[in-house]
Amino acid sequence: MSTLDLDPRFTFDNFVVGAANRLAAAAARRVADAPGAAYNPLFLYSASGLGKTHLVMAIGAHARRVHPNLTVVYETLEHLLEGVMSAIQAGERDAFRNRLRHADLLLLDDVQFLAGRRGAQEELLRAWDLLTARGGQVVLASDRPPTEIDDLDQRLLTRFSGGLIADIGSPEYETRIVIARSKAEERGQTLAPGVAETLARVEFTNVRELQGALNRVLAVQELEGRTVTAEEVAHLLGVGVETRKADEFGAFLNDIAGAVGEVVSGVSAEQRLADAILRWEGEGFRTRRLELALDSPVSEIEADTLIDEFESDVERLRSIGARIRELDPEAPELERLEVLRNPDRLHDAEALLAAVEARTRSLPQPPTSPSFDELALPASLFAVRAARAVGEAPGTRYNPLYVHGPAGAGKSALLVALANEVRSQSPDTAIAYLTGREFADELMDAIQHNHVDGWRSRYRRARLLVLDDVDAIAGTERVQEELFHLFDDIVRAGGQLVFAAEVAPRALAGLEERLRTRMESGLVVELNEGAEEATGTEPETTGSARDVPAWVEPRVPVAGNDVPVAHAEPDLTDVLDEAPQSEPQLPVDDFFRSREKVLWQWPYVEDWLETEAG
Amino acid sequence: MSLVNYSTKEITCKIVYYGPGRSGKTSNLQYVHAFVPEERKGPMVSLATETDRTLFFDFLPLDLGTISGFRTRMQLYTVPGQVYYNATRKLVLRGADGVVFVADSQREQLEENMESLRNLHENLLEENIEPRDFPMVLQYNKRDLPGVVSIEELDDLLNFRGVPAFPASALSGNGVFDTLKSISQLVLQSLSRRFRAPVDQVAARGGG
Repeated sequence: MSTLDLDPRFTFDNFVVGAANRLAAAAARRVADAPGAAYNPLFLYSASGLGKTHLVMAIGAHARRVHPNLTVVYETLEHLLEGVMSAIQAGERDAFRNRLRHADLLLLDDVQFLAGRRGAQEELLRAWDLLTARGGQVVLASDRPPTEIDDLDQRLLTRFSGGLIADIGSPEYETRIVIARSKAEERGQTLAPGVAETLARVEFTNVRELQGALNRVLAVQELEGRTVTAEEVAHLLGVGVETRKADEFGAFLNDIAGAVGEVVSGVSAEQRLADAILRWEGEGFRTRRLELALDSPVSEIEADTLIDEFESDVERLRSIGARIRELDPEAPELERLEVLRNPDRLHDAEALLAAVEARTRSLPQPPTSPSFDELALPASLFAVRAARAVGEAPGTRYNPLYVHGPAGAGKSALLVALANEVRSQSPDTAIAYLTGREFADELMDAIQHNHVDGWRSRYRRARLLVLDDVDAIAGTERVQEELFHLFDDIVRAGGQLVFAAEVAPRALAGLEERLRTRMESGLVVELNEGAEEATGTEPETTGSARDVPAWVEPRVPVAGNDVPVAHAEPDLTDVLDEAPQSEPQLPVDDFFRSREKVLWQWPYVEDWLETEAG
Repeated sequence: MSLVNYSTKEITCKIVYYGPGRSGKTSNLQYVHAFVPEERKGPMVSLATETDRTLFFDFLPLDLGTISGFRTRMQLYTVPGQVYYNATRKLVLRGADGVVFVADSQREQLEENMESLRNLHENLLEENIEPRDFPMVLQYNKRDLPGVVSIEELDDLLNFRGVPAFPASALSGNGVFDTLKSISQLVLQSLSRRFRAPVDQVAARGGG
């Protein structure tokens, strides 16, 4: 596979430098003098015919002359890929890398044709890394800047942009004059006064067109042996030589291109870091990460990457602050400037946001039905009446209400009815309704994502906490501890707690004593399997409070020694007295068969007996 | 405050046209606006009074395209020249990277020119900007009118800092781009210097 030769006509000596290409020419010379030492890669771009290839080849020619041992490879992308394809078809698997393996200075022209060629990009990426790892220099030429090459691999884009990107603009009037004169001189000819100026005034879009026009003038001079005058040029070229339209803006751009180049080139990694430090300090952000980088040697690419990441973190901090403000304008987290202004603590800032989100998230709500009226349980059931009493005045009696009974007895429906009763009576009451499993899962999630404080604050808002299937928390430590604290907080705030489980608290294995005593401190009622079947056929109610066994008697909450007893629990007779007078009284004998009032199955009776016997 | 962002490869500069009322600041921007290709400019925003004087400011965003790999943008502003709009002038001046002082070359406007220049210095100092170090050029406008004050005399009166000064006729465009080019180069040079300074500045405050 052959390589392309450098065209000996293209040297630095015959490259006319003007304002539009000064930066590109200076950078090219520096690279040619010391390949691999500065501006690696050098990325040159311009519209067609403005001298990219000339400069690229001049670099190669100069580097070969100054460093004879250097392996210079010049390729256009198309030629390179054609050669690689042929080699691959001939069975050479690593054709691409082999082709560039020995290059010390790779000059790659027309790289814009990489657009959309993923395979070629991958290969170039690998070859690039091998080459630069050996200290090799890369010079690229394109008709557009790297960022405008479509579908360019991000890694290649980073590499292309990692050195110096220099563009070549259209030469301004004065440079066009010099180009015309110097090209004539190269051909050993002299232009009559005014000819170069006249040519320079023609609307050429690039240097090639200017050269073509000059060639016509020179051909006439050579072939006819006479000097072409300025007046003849228009006729000779077959175009009207109009005075170049006043493109003042274009001239302005050309004139300041050099000044922009001054700003962006030759700025060291340290200077970029220091500038970023001062800028972000001025904005009130901690810049320790950048300061550390400033104290250690970093390349320009590393510095840019660091600054890029830093600014991305700053942006995230800003959006976190804005989000917290949106969720809660009074959030105390907004005062945590040591976190919200420190990109090194982005993780903590995320945790702050998560806490605020957790805190401000709406509480889990009960289904909208059933209400007590829709309940498929007899209104006369003791548990239903107790729940209704709690629903009508939450937090003032039977706190907590603990309903237990086998699966399918209607506990969940009863709890929902209670919650809906509270909701209908005072819609502003903060209600949380969830199962013990959900409660535990939410806590685990909050622990995992480091926003337990927010989770806790969220549930502390509840003034009615309904925890169904609370059995699920048995045997847990952290969940019970959190529920214990939450219990006290809600009671202290005058809120109501309601629990449901298959068994009574004392039968719930793995329930901590402090929680068990609290659950028993209000009213514990049983809702048995037969309750639904008994609907309408065997109304179960008790005649009077005196008939109620001692273990369901209401007690004053004991959720903490300092709990003020604002409302002493009303006697259960309050509830029972509200029972419809028309309901028949149970015969005394039947009372003892009521599964609602009597504990028929004592849990762990063996343990008790053992203890008693011991 | 101009911005050079190496990550996004962007440069943004703010240039303010300052000067007494009716000296031709808006005409400068209008001329530039007329010569900038459509794709390179945003709409020119002018907030004028019913008497067609600039009440608040003119704003012309220019996209100079990608130069040396950097997307380069300039924002040109004018301030209202009338004495009583000083609060607006201060506001517009905030964050400026350079100033074009547009003076009226007519003899009867000499006092207004000097008063406006004094006001510029005061406002810069209020913003903690040292006028002597701040990129500035002078434009002696309305040179096409008869009987205008000579350049030398204007220099004596206004250009005590020896900044670049350009004769201009903003309505016809003479000198407009020369002025813009000069201030742009000064601003960019100042930016370039800024990048040479901060390493020492960071080190001097104790290395963070």
